[in-house]
Amino acid sequence: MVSEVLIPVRFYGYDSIIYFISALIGFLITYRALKLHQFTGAPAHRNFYLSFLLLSAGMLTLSLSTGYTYAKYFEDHEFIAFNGLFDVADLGYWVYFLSSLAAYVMLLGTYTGAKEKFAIGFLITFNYYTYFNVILFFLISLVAFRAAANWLSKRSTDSMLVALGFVLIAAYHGLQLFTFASKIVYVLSNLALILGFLSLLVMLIRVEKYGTKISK
Amino acid sequence: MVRRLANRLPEGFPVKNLPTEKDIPSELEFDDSRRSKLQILIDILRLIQRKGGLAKSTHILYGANLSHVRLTKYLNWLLTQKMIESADYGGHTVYRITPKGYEFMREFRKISEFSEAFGIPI
Repeated sequence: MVSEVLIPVRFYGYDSIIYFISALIGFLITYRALKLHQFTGAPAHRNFYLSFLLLSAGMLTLSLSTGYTYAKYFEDHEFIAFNGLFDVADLGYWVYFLSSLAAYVMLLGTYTGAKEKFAIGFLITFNYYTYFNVILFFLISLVAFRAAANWLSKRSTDSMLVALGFVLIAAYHGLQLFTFASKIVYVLSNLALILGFLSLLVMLIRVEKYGTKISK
Repeated sequence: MVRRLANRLPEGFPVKNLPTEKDIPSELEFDDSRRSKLQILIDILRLIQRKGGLAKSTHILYGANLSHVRLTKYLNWLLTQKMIESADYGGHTVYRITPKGYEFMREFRKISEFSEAFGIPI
């Protein structure tokens, strides 16, 4: 059902590793966001950490499901079916799309101050991959726009890293729309994803260092 | 002299179970749209730190921009939380930051930088 996506065989498995690393970085950001929520108790901060928790959990599921699919492929040279309807990678994509959809809506809600709104309904279609990526691209682009505006007003390195991170994650979803065109697009999209999360990781490391600057 | 006294603060390991915004009693609230309760507490601790880790209440009063009654409430709360401790110095009561107070400041710095990077107000 994700037959429109062209993935180079030599890249099989690497995307799973990228999803896994992105999930780990996402969980680290979740932890810091949880500390922020524990400190302030503000509902907006709860939504913020829940959004990263959902995003990371979805990415971890995608990493495991695609990893399992590739492992089976290299073992049996065929993609396995789940329940005769989906293959396992499809199931992982569904979990990832739904969790990231909820995560981006909540993240956007944190920025706009609006209450989180979950998606009203989905167009269930055999070609869900494109539809979800269009929605996710649109949502994360709005988040990236907000983060870029924050960087332009603050002009700090940390806010630039956050904006860059979200722009690259948006690029990942944008490029995913064109994976039918060429195999290299899939590789580029995954590179954008990992670079986006690495940008957020650098920001997190910098933030953790600030605490050590306060001493007696 | 003040600097020397501050340097004699006991060494401490990072203190866990730091208080959060919801742990701060409502009696400390007042109409200050510019600063949250947390921000006021941090401002007080920073003032003490800027004075070399040891400050008189009058110095804190001028710097924190609070009424005497409000400041007393905040100082008492910080004392009960063991984030500052008081001592008699030359007939005056002085306040100094404890290791738990420094840990509180470090944690606040991290979360404030983190939220600023994302553009989310505390």
